[in-house]
Amino acid sequence: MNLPKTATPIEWRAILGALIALSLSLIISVLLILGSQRYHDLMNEWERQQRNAFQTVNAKYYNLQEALKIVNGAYLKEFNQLIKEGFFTIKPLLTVEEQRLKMVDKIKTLLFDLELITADYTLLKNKLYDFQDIIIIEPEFKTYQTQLILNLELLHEGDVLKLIETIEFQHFTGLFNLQRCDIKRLRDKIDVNNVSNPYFKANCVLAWYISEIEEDI
Amino acid sequence: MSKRILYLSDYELRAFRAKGKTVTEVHRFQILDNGEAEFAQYLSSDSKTPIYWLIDTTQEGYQTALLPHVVGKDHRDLMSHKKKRLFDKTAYTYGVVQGHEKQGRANDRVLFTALNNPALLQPWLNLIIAHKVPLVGIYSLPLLTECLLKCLPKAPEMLLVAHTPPTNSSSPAGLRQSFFVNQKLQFSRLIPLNTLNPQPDYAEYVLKQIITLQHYLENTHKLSQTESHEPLLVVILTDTPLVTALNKHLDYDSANLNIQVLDNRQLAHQTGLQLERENQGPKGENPLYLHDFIVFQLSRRWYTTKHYATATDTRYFFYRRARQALYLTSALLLSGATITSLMTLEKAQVIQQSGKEWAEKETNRQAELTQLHKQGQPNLPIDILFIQNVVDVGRHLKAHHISPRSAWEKLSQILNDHPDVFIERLEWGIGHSAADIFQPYSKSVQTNNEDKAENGKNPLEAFVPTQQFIEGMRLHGKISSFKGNYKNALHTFRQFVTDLRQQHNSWIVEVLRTPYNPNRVLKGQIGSQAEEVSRAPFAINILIRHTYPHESS
Repeated sequence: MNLPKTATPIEWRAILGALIALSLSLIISVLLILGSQRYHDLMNEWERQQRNAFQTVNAKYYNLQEALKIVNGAYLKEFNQLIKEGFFTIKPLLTVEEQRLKMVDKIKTLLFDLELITADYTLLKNKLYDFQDIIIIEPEFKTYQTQLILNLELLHEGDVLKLIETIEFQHFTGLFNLQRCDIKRLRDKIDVNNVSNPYFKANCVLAWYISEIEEDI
Repeated sequence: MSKRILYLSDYELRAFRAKGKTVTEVHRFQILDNGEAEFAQYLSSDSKTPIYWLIDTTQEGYQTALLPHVVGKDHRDLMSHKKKRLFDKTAYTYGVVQGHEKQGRANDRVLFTALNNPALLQPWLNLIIAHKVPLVGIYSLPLLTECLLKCLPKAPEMLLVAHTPPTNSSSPAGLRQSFFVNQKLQFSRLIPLNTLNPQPDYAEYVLKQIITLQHYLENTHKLSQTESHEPLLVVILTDTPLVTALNKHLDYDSANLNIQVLDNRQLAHQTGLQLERENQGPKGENPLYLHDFIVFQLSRRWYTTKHYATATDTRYFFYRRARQALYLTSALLLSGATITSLMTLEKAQVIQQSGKEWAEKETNRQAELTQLHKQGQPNLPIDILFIQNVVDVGRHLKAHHISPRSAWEKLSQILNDHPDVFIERLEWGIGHSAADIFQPYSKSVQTNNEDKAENGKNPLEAFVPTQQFIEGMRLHGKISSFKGNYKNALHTFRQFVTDLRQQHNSWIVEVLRTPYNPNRVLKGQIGSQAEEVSRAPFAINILIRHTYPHESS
């Protein structure tokens, strides 16, 4: 169909209604498509949220179920034992630092009582113990490690074992582990007439562990 | 859907309404008798229905011409130029290519027609435009007669003679003679028919006009002149009372004419035409004219090329088409958008249903979780997850709580069997690898790899740090009472290592340094005692694998 070729101007009124209808239908179409698409996106997002919410609750449920299973087994007994050993306190009266000072006082007394030739000690600062993904723990649960370095001069190598077992017997608050020990012989032969000079020199590192829940983290 | 068709002769304008096979003549408007006012009233009563306008006038001209065969714009320009040359006083011209020359340059055979008196149309056209009635086109009746030929006897050259309504107030009817070659119009003539009296006057008059036209066609070389050509077929279309009269008088036995008389009623029956006239008597009493058949043919066609109307004349039809196209586009757009939206909503509903299922599952699981909390929490001092953490960490650390006593006692027992092996230094520790426990072994002393070579593989290859850890001892010592006897020293050391391995299968023994290796490069100074010679030193790593307690334990 060709437009009139003469100079007669186009009578827009003749097609105005149709043009308005086209414009309206265009607007309505765009609104319909955009509206439905928006609704679709909203539903998608809502569905994703519901799925995530379920997965979160589901994970909690299974974690709790698993935890209950183990707690109802041997865990609770072990938990009470660890509280008894002072490794963990539900509502601690002393801070970790205060307990550290208490522990070092006891160590000093102990070393004095053992009558070693010389016994030097170094207590390092507390540090947060890193489990390096070996154990998965809650972020609020913290375990601190304090290293005690002992430099000893001994007459007999058995004195090292005696020292370690004495420390264990003391039942310090927290857990004590011997990390390493380096014993060097100072003289090849034993002279029974000379018991004031050491035959062995030992450098031992013990680690003291204590834990707590820090709710404000 | 009905069509509105106008028929204009030199004498009157008739309006038809065609629906299906029924053609109804609804109005007649006299040119000289206040017809225009009636026509204006007629148009104002229905200004929406488009008009097809059929022209049947004595003032239509016909010219055939040969034009060079060109296409596209050249063809249009050539046609336009030719029309202007042939009919320079009118805008209502038309040209149609009817075929090609079979010989020579194959020029186009073109028929040009024109309405030589546009004033005939103007009053009616002005009213149509004033009422904004869509005008589809203005059509030439003789040209549209080609559509009727399929219902008539056929011949290469044919002359159709048919009645038309009166061409003036003094004649009872008109006589249209149209000449066709190969079903294409070549020439047409409309003359007044002075008598409709069946007795001799009518037949003689008609025959006379046919012969006159035959002579004209021969003189103008429109009719073939060769001896072998078929006689001209003359088809006379007339009313029933005149058929008999014509058959009686048309005993003209000419080799050049083959006259066949057809009854209008018979042709109407053949084509299916049902004609009604609203302002006349019953249809049986009304004469049928050529234009009745052409109106019928026009009403039955889906599309007919317009002949005369200019773009200005048909602008309201153009606007109507534009409106229809716009409304159709709008409808399609809305339909498409609605369908698309419905499909999207359907998908969204499926997703919503899925979301509801997840929400329901979540609610149920939340209830189960709350129930589980109630079951588990009342007797617990802290959150169950913290209890789990305390125990897991406690177990892990307690696993490291190993006294060296056991390992040292076992080592002492073996050393008792090897009095010549003298330990100078003992390192002990806990860790996940030898590197964790011990200082790097001195690089100045060459590490002996005999041990690894003997086993053929790394003894800690299958070690899993998350499940296992190592208790390690490193022995630094020498072979006492060596006195330069390498062979004995080496034997003593090897025996010691072998005993370490045999008596404790779980111990991994790595020899870092042997007292003497016969293949080693030897360097020394005569007169001085080098360390190798005087001491026969060795270094050994003993690694004991421990496993972390499992949860179930």
